[in-house]
Amino acid sequence: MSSWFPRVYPRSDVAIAVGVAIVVQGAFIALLARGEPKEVLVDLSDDNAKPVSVAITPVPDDLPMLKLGGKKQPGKLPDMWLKPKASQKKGGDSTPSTKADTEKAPETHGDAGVASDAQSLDPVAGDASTDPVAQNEGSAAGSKTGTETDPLKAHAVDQYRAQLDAWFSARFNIRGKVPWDKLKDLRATVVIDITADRKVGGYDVVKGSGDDTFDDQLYRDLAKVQVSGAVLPPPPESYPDILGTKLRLSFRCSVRAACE
Amino acid sequence: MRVISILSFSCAAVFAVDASAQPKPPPDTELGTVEVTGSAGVALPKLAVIPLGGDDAESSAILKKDLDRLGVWDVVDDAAMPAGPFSKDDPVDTKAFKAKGISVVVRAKKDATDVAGDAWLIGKGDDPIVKHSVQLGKDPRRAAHALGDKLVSALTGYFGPFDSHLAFTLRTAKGRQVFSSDIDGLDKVAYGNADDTALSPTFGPKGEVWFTVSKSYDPFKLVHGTAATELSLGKPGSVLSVSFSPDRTKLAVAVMKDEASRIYRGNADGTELAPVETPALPNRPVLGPLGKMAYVASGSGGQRVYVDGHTVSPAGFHASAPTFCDSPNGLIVVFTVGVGSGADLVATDTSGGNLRRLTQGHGSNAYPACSPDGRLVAFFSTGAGGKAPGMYVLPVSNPTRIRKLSGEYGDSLAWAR
Repeated sequence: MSSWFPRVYPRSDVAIAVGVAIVVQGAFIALLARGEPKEVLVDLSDDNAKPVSVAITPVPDDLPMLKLGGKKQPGKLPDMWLKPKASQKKGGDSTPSTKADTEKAPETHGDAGVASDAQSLDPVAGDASTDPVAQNEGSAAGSKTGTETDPLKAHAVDQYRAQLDAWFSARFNIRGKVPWDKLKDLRATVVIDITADRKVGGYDVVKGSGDDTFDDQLYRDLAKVQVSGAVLPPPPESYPDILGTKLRLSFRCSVRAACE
Repeated sequence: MRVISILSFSCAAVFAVDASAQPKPPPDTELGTVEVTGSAGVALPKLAVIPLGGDDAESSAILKKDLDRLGVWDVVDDAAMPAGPFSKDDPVDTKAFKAKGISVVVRAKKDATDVAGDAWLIGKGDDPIVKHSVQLGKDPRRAAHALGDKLVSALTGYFGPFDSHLAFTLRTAKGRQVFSSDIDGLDKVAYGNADDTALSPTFGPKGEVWFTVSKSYDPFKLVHGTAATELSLGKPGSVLSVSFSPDRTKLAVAVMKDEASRIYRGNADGTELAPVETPALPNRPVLGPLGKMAYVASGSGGQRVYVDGHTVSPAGFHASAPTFCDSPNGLIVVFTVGVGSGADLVATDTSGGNLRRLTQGHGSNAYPACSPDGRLVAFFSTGAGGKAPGMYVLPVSNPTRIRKLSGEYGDSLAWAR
């Protein structure tokens, strides 16, 4: 070792330096290891769906030029909206939810129409000590100390998670390609690389569904999303770090009306 | 010297390890695993604004209107709320609101100096989870909008867009003039001379209104402020349109000379302008997030919208007036397309994919302007079905929830804080 170190560095100094470096590296590794993502599953099914009003991204599925991979029909704009039709359950294997809001039926369109429970106010793990809400309130006069606590962050995270669900769902064209009886049990897990400009830089299907049609469609649609350069929704400006550089997604279709 | 040597070696070792380290583990602990369910919809939780009378009535009404415009919540009517009466200081019976299926309750109240707002997340205790206040200042109405922005920030993580201004052009007796107003169409300010022809208003550094103007059929000049002070760009020709980057540090202009136009990009002060390669007849450059630029230019089948050199508007349609929305639907481009004798608003990804129609059956709709938070699109509409011409707004994620902002009907709309 002394043969390739200048003589100005005594062995003791080198040993101390290596020791300090190891300690600092260990601290870095410990910090990085703390952020293990926690799986949060939102149980969405026909049985517990709550058909409150639904914000719908109008994805006109009757116009192939607008669907991912469809054929173009120049000279025709998409219809903005299709009124929801009363969906008839096939097979009679499920009953209407007793939790349904009878005052306002969910608006549905195309692939949409799932009564998502993603707006749950249940808190998720968050760091209340770093809650940045109060730091990003702009410059309006007269601000008094806010009282936001962790449930607020959970609320924002829930909303953002629902946006990501809608964003990827609008680009996942599994509908009609796998029989419902099989589809309802399929699930694939994907880790997406998010670029600095909020695009899909790459993806890794870490756990396939086991169904070739489902997995092939997933690969195909993810490739299209990556090639298209579509930009993900921005994370809440009060919580800009929640998106991160990797996003773990679980693709499944558990609500019959949305996926069959 | 010895200490410095040790520290230097230590740092070098750390950086060497860091550089060769594997990519960071996902720092997405809050998001966890996002379930992609096949649904393209987002449920709207119900929100109630407690109706108060007297001095609090105006603030409550403004707050309720703003929260309804946002399209994030289903703002319930008073009839759908628990039976009152309500007062500004009484505790809120959260159980009664929960029984009505309401998830969020908001109350605004005014005193001599402030307008204050409380918000409850139902199921998270009987005390308000958010408390904010804004000084009334000279304009209590604006203070109520600012309060709404703060409450929206606390409840959604995104600052609200309501304490903001819109700039637009209106026809005058002899020409077109630029005006600005607040989101209610009030506090209207005129720019330049009513006899001139003004185009392309936008917001520049320090929130000042910039536009282009022609006097007596002279070439259009780039000007700013109520006095229409000229900024010479040193480019011969007529400046047709102008745009600033979201951080207002960069500028893009379209300049026409000898029946040909060209887009230049440079600094906000007009320096270092460099031409941009585009198809023929480019106009209406718009600088957006992530360094992107949209514009219109000639294309197959007529004028089309381009983003960074690629067409995004559908072939065969005359497209115009692009604007970026960094929205819950991702970064999208909203623009006008001619449909029959009218026009409608559509949105696409910045690559042109995922085309969505935002208006239909609401008259002729044009000149979209995205709100500062990306959630809303304001536009001019002739109206239909009993709705009068004016300035309207819709949420990008739920475009059927169209609300009227004011009775102004013009063109070239811009929206900023």
